[in-house]
Amino acid sequence: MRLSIFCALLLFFASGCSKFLEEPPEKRNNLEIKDTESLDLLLNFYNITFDRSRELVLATDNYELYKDYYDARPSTFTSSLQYILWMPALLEQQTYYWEQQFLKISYANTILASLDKVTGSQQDKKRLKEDAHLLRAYEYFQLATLFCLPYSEENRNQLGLPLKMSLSYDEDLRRKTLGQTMDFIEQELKLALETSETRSEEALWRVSKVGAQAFAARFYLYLHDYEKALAYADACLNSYSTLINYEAYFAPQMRTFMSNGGSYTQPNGSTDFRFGEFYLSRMMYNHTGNAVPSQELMDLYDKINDYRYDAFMVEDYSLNRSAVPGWAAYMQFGSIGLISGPTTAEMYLIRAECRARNNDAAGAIQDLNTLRRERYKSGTYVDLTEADFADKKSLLQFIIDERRREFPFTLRWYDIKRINTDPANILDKITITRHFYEYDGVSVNTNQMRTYTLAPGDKRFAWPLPRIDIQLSRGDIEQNPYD
Amino acid sequence: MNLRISTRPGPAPQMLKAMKLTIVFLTAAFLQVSANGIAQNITFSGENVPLQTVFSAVKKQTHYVFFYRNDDMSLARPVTVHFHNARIEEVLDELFKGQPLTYSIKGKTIVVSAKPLVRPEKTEHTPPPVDIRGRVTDSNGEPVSGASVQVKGTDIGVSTDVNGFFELKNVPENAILVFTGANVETLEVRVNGRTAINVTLQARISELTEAEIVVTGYQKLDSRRSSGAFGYLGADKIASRPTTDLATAMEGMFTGLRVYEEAGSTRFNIRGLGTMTLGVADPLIVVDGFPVGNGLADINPNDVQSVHVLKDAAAASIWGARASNGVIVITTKKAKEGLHVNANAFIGIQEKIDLDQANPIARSADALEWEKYLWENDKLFSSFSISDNVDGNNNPVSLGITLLNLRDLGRISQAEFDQAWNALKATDYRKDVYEHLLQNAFTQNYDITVSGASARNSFVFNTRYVEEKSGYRYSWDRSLLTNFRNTYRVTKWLDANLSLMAKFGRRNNSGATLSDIKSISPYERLLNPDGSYATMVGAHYQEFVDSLGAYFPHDWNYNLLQEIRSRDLRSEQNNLRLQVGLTFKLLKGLTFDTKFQFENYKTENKNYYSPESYYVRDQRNKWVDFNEATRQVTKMYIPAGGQLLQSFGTFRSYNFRNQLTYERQFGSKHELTAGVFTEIFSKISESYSAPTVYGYDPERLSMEVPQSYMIKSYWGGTNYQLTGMNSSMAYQNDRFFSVLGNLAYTFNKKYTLSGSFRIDASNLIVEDPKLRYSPFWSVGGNWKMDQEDFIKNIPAIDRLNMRLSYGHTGNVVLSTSIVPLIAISGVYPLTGAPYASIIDYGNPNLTWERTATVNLGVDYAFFRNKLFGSIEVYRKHGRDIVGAIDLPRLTGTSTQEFNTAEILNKGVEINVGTALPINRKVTWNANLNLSFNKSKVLNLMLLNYNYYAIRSPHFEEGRPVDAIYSYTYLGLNDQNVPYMRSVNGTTYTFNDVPPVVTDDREYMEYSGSRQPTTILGFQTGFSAYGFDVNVIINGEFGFVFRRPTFDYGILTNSKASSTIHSDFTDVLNNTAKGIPGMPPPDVLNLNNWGGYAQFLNTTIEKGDNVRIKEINVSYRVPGKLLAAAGLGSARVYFQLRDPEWIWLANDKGLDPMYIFNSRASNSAAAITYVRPAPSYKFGIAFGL
Repeated sequence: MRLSIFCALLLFFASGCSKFLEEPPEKRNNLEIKDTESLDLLLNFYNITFDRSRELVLATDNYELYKDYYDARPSTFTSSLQYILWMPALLEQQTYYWEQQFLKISYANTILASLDKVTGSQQDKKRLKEDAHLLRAYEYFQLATLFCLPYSEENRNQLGLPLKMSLSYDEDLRRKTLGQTMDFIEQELKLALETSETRSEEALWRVSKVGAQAFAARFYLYLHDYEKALAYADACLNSYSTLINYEAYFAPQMRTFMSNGGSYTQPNGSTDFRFGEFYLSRMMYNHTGNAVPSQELMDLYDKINDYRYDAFMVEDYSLNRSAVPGWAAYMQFGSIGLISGPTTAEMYLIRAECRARNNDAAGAIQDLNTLRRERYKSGTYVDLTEADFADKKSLLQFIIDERRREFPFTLRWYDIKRINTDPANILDKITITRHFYEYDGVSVNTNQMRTYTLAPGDKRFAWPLPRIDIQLSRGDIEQNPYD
Repeated sequence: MNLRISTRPGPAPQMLKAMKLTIVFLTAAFLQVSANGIAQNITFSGENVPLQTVFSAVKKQTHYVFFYRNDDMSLARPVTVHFHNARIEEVLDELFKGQPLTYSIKGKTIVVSAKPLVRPEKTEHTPPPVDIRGRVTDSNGEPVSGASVQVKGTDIGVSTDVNGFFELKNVPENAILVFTGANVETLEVRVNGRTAINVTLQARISELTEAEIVVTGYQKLDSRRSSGAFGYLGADKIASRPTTDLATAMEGMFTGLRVYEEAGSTRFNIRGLGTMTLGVADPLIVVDGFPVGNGLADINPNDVQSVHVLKDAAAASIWGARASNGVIVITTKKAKEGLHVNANAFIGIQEKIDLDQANPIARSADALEWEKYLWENDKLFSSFSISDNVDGNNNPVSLGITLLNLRDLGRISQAEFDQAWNALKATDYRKDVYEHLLQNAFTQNYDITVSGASARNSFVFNTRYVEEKSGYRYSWDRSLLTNFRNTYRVTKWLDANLSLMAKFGRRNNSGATLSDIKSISPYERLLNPDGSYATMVGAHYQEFVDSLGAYFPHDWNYNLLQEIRSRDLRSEQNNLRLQVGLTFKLLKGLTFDTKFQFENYKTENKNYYSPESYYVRDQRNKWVDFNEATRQVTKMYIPAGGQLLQSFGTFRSYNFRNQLTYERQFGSKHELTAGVFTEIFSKISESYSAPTVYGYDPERLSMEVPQSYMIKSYWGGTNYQLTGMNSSMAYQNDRFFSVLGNLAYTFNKKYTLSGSFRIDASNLIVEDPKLRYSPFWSVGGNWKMDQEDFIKNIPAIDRLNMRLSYGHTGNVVLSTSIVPLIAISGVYPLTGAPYASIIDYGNPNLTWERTATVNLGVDYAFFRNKLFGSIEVYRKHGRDIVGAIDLPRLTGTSTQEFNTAEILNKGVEINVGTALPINRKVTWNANLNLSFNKSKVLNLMLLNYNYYAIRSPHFEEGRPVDAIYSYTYLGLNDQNVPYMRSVNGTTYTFNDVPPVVTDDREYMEYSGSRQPTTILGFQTGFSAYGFDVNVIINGEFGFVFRRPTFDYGILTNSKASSTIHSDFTDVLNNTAKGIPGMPPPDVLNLNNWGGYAQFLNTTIEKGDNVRIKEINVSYRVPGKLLAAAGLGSARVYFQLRDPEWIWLANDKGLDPMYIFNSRASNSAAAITYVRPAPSYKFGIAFGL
């Protein structure tokens, strides 16, 4: 009896405790990454793909800070003034956008760091690798357009980004040059372009050939490489060219909220990642809720027939108490989400611009008409013709304006930067001007007006990096100079 | 075994070696066992040795105990004997051959007595009665007080006094005296004409020198040889404090142990905080040798024999990786010889909670004043998103704001407004709350224990029923707790143990909670004057409810009381614990134990919301399609009927332990105790919350499946998911494997050297398996100075003992990981795709926390034990403490945990006790526990000290644990704006945005630490004429806390006007002390004001406090009455607890014990919890 008990014990220990300790401590939570499926699940975390930039909404000439609106309700603007008036001293206290961008990049880095260790088919690993590279390319590009000076040959040696490429805490965090940063993004993009994945309605935020190509078109346009931009836009449109007719969204009307003189129509369906024009799904989260459109922007539209005005611009927006009746707000598809990923519309406009620059006015106008037709109320659209444009510049300007109409609070910042450094130098450079009270970062002096300008070449086109990261990197990360 | 102080990972080879050694050891052991299976008998050789010497040898080898009277022993002749493996009967027969003594065996006790004298059958005359004086001592020579001395067969009897003396008059010369006492064996002694009789009573077998044993959970050790620092609390002390939970009985009873409440639960802290990870800061709780899963919750204090608190490394390192926070070892009661029945019952009643203390909010008029102020300055604050469109307002606002909005939109006239406004002003929520939501808590506790022991078997059966009516109406808690323990002596070499615990608990949580009460505006009522439910602010803007509510299927008004009455929130607990064990006595002194514990705790929550509840009505109304034109609900998404929400939790653990212990004396000078242990432990927690059952009818058990998963609300075209359809599941399995050993050697009964080692491994996720193992060890020494000749001769010193120890304990932090970890999160609603998120990016350098402790202790007893106690000095150095370090955000995270920090705790603990006889009937006793602790955080490589982190208790290099910073308030500057001073002397105002620096300490001053440096526990009382009166006084000193105050809070879209702190009245009247008055109307950043005002140095208060925690009075019914009633003992008792007799260092009357400025929360005001109201308990306990 005693012998057998002891033998049992002996056997138990002989079998070893290492196996006993191999059991993972949790299911569902705190799991080790063991297979490609886990990596796929990580990339399915759609919520983190949101673009959370306040800057893109508030900093351009499509936004306006009206003195009277402010007077009526200062609190609507107090936390936004630093963005609207480009104040690096305050902006360097903000970390949110930076943090969110690097969160996405760390997901990509986790994928790339895990691929060699996980089980799964080679095809899956290849796809995941391409997905991660596309994610890094896209998000670093977003960072570069905000935190670095506009790209140009002259600016190549200006400060770029710190490039976090692994999960190691010991990585070199010093900023690369803008040139090196763009080269890195291009290299990432090239790896992504190797993909053969097709566009999938159900996973539009994930890698696809057209998604990578569409982003490539946007990327090269920013680098003023119109040839490549045209090639990629063309490639995209050859694969997928669906445009959504907006009529379907806004007629019949769904529900109108009446308020003090204003009304607000809710579209039949809100948009989300499934928006049919996406090559790569990205939504921007419009924090401010009511982006206040500038008069200049509103004047660019056909206010009656163009749905992009009629449905998106709520002229007398007063639904929210933080708004003041009498002032307009931009509400794309009635939600706080703005379409920001590359779409067929963007590809038509990139192709139009490149064609126009290439002196293919007919081709450019054809692309414009294709797009604009879907934006107007049915039966109201009149095709543009070459006769409508006096010269190459006016055609190009029209295309740039069309981009403003189409993407007023997502791509305008990027357009201003590239236009101001365009070596072709056809378009007028853009200076943003605001007339507002004297604001010193603490209080608004309502007795003193001031004109604020952001002119081409201004150092503030490179947004300040969060100060906390500079401090926590113990000086490895350098701040943008503002003289 | 070669053990070094190994830092950092890599003990795998040693570990494997250790395991192999264990196997070898075990193998060797069982081989010997089979060879010497019957070796349970006695081996002894001696020539002309006193009988007592043989007795002690027998006792050591067999656990038989001898009872005798010194007088009788003086008659004994020395013996010359040689035994080899002799049976006990043989030995005894041999020893008593020719002695004037005889013996009898009673269980494991051998009672030695003088042979009856041969007397003439009849004497001619009765001898004259004599007066007898004498003293009763125990086997350690210590006096036995309160023992009863009775002349057999008569009523004549007395009790011994505190020094054990007694005096009996007129006793027949040939009488037999019967000595009985609470914890000693009964002894009968013949007078034989003597006038002085001194007897030595043996402690009851099962409780042999109970107070002298340290139970480490693995072994019972002789405390007088132990080198460790431990605290002891015996059953008598626990019994003197009627309570339903053991934690309460431990308050103030130990040095170095802080018992406190934190966010509603009782927590322990042994010798300061030793980790920065909140979840693993609790001591390990061990019941009858096994760590248990749910702390003290399933322990009946009346079933507890002793509590040992293991404080230093020598005591606790035997528990290795889980012992850094100390260990609390609980031993349950063992059966005593014979059959015993003990019963105990008490009832307790508690006053209602004090709303002014629990919810210190402004009065109605003042709260309305603030709402009005905010409304009038509303365009500056961006606070209310109310539009003038009724149905656009989905969010609730307070009734005051609603009125203001209605007035300004012209929907009500100024007169109507004034009337409604004044009505609100005149309303006070407290009356309704006291009447309808609160009640006197009422506790009933019934407890019965049946125990018995015979030669082969002993058992304890204990059952307790507790019914607690909560202080909140409609809530109650009932539980039945049963313990059964049995030890069966199968053979001479084998004992079998079985222990079962079962607890069934039912709880009703339907009543209001404090947070429900805190969400009531001070001017809200529960009932209208006519008794109908008053309209309270629900989930929507009230004007919307009033004007459009009629179009919806259900009444859309909210009322808290109605809600409570329409819901039935139940929780059931079924807990089982099974312990089985076999003890093999293998060889002389060598014992092998194999033990197994299985725990299974199940919790089931069933929350039912009836169709009348707002919870259901709101959903039914809200989730609809609505035809704007016809004003009709065209589709309802939520099925009619009630809703049932269920969740289930299971905790399961398996613990398998094998231990080999060896205890032997060699010659008269050498004693050796050693043990080798292996342990395998797995604990599994699972939880599951079921999808909501819609359309539930509790009578018919019918339900309805919702038609559609995607639903729409009245307010928006967006698609929502039906709530409650996602069931959430979690599973956690923590596994440990441990090998440990210890050794203690005593030379000449004076010098003990001890050591222990342990290797722990757990199923941490690691890349290299060797990182799972971690070694811990300790060494210690004990010097029994009172055995030295130079002290032996000092009569004033009864005991003097010096201990020194050093060693390591550890702590497993599971909140972070070596490799990246992810969590699977189900389906993302928008995309319909399953997804996962990264939980931890992983830190390859992560290791286990370890704490090195040096402890020097002295135990003393002076002046015939009138003064006794201990003094401990320690230094506890926690290394590799895991702390969150701020990282640049571009790492994808803002913090990551690294083992960088160190926490140093140094302290002195003094325990002084006395039991002083005032006269023969009255004894004064007192016990003082004083603990001093100083902590310091070292090497916390934090670069970033944010104001929001440092204004609350936090860890900071160079400061004590829980340091707090404040803004240095200077009052108003020349522009009448409140301003503050930074460290470098510059000033900044309430209107300034705080300057952004990495180190906000530049702008703030150090205010002190939230951790008390001195803890006082003082108990004193009298025993007189059967009465015991005992007062328990606790105190904490040397710390600060932050007083919650008015936060200048902007009311957002909520009903929370109830959060306006009562300090607002003073702010309004400009009489506030320490915080500024009302902000000027053009202040833009009221948020700043709130952010500053709550954290000014003027809100720091001294925490020192002393309180009378309890007064216990009990009366022991005298023996005569008992005999008449057929009872063995009876006691009635009364307890007054939390009488609110408190001395506070702060002049605001704020009790720091119940103002918890959390480390986890940044809001100083948010977390305030309730001081228990005074409670009264009455009880009776008796034994058969």
